[in-house]
Amino acid sequence: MSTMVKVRRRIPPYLFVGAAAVYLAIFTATPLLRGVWLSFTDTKLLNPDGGTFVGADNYRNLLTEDRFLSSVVTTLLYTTLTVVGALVLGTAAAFAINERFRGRAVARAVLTMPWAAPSIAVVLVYTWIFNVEDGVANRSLAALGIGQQGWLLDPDRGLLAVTLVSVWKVFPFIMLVVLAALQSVPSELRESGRIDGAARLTIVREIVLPHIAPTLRVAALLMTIWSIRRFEIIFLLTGGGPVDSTNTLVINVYREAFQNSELGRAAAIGMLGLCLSLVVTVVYFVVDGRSARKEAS
Amino acid sequence: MPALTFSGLSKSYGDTRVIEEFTAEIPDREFLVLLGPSGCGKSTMLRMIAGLVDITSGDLLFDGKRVNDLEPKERNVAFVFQSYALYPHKTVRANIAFPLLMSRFRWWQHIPVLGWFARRRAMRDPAISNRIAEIAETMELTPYLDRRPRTLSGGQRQRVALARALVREPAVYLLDEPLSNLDAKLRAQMRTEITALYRRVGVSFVYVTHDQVEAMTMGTRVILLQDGVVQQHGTPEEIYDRPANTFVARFIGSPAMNLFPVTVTGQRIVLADGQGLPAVPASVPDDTRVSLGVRAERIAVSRDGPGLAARVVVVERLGGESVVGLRLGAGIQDDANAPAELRDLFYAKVPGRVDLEVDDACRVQVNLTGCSWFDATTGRRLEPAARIEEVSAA
Repeated sequence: MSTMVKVRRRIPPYLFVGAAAVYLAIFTATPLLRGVWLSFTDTKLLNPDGGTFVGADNYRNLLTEDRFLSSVVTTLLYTTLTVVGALVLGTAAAFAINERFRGRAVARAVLTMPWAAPSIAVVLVYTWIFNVEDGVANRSLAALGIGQQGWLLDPDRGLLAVTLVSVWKVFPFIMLVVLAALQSVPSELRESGRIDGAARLTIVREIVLPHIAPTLRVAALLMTIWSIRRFEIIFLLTGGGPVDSTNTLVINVYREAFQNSELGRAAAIGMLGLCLSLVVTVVYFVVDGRSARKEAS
Repeated sequence: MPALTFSGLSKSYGDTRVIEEFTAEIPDREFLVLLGPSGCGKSTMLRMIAGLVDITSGDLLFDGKRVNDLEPKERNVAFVFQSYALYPHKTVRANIAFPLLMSRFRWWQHIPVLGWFARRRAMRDPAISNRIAEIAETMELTPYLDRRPRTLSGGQRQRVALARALVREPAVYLLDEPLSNLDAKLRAQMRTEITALYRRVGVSFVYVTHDQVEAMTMGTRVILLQDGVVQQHGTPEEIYDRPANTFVARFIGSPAMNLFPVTVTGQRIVLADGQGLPAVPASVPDDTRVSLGVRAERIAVSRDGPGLAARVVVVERLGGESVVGLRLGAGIQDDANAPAELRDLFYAKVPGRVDLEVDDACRVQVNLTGCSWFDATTGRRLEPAARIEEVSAA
C-alpha cells in the first residue's frame, strides 16, 4: 500500500472527530475556560471585563460560608431524593406498562406527558396544586383530616414540594428507558424462571432486575447529573426559598451572578458544582468498570 | 414419572387455530418427539405441556391427573430452551443451583440482606453443593462452575442447560430444539449424549425438533405435525414404513420417499411415461390414479439389464453408499413442456460406490415389498397395506 493511500485513509476519522471537536471548543470548552478564569477574579456583572485576579479567594470564602455549605447539602439532598424517587416511580411504571392490559397504549401516552410538558406549564399547575387555601394538595390532606401545609411557603416543606414536582416531571424518562430495557429481556428467561419454580416477584428480582441493571445505572447517572444542574423547576416554584430551603448550587449561581452581581463568586460556585458532577461520573465509571470486569471474569 | 394423555387438546390465539384438536396417549418413560416443519405448532404444544401457554380446549393429563390449570412449577417439569435461556448474570454454579434454591425459597428472602444470607447458606448446604458437584461431574462441567454463560462455547452452554434441567429430578423433561444452534458434529455428539441421558434417568422426555434424523434416532414415539394438525402418531418405524399420507412420506426419510403418480390398469401399474410394473394393489380398483410410494433403498440401479428405463441426473457419493437422482424414460423429460411428474426426480440409495455418471442411461428395478399407496387426490394412505404388500410381492 502506497504512503499516499495510507495518508488518505487516515484523514476521514480526523475529519469526523474534528467537526465535533470544533463545536465543543466553541460552545463548551471556551465558556468553561472563561468560567475557570472568572472564578479566580472579582468580576462584577455590570463590568464583566473589569475583574482583577484574586487567586483562590472566591473558593476560600465559599468553603467557609454556611450559606454555601448549606446549598451543597440542599443540592445533595434534592439530587438523592429526586433520583431515588424517579428511579422507583419510573421503574414501577415501566413494569406496569410492560404488562398487557386494556388501554395500555393510552396509559403509556398519559404517563409520558409530564416529560413532554414544558417546565413552565408544570410549575404553573403545581403552584395552583400547592396553593395553601384552595390547592388540591391541601384539600386532599384536609379530606384525610390533616391540616394545611405551606408547601411553597414553609421552609420545612419547600424542598419536599420541589422534589415532588421534579420527580413527577422526570420519572417518565426513567420509565421509557427501563421499558426499552424490559422489552429486551428475552421472554425465555422469565419462562425459565417460572419452570424453575420462581414466583413473579422472585423472577423480577433474580432475573429481570440484574438484566436491566446496566440501563438503570446509566439512567441513574444521567438523572443525577441533571438533578445537580436543574434550575427552572426550582427557580420558578420557589426561587431558592423559602428561607434558602431550596437554594441549590445552581440557584446559588444565579443569585450570585444576577442578583448580587458577583460573577466571580458565581463562577466559583459553578466550578464546585462541576466538580460534584465529575465525582458522580467517576464513581459511576468505577462501579460500572468493576461490574464489567466481574462479568467478564 | 407420568404417562401423558392429550384429550381433545387444542390451542387458538383469538380466531386463529394454531393446534387442531387431537387425542393421544403416551405411556410412561417414552422419548416422545414432536416433529414438523417450522411454524407447525410443535413448540406451542410443548409449551402447553409445560404450562407456559394456556390450553384453549381439551385436557392434558399427567398419570390421569388433569394439569391444565397447574402452574409450570407445580407440574414438576424441566424445560431446555432452544436458546438455552441461561441466566447471563449468574455463574454456571448459580444457574444449576437456581431450581434447588427456588424450591427452598421463603417470602422473607425478598428482604435484601436476609435473602443474600439465606442463599449463601443454602449454597453451602451439602445437599445442594453435592448435588451440583454430582451433576457438574456427569455433564463434564466441573472446570466451568465459576464461569458465566457468555464465556462458554455453544456445546458447554447446552450442557449447562441440561444440567439445570437434571438437577431437580423432574417427572418429565421437555426439550425445545435444543441442538439447533450447534454445528453438525457437536449436534451428533449431543444427540448421543441426550439419548444416553434418557436411558440413564428413566423418565419421560418430550423433544421438539424439525430434524427427522433426530426424531428417528432419538425418539421411541413420534408425533408429526403440519399446520397445527397431527398428521401421524406412532413409533419411528411405523411412521417410516407406513406413512399416513404423502406429507409424512415426504417429510420422513433422507432422501424422502419417492412418490410416483401411477394408474392401475388391468394387471399393470402404469407410470407417467407409459412404462409399467407387473403388480397390482388388491385394494385399488381398476383404472384408478394413485401415488406409489417407494423408499430410495428399495430401488436398484444398473447400467444394463431388466427394469424401467431412466437417466441419471445427480450422483451423490457419500462414501459407504451413493444416492442417485434419476428421471424416468429416455429424454423427453428435459423438455420444459413435459408434464411435471416426468420432470420430477426420484432417488435410489445404493450401497457402496455406483458406477454411473450424470446423463448416463440406466435401468431401474423397483422392489414393491413394503411400498405405500396413497390416494392421488387426498394424499391419504390406502389400506390395508398388508394386502397390498402381498399382491405386490407376488
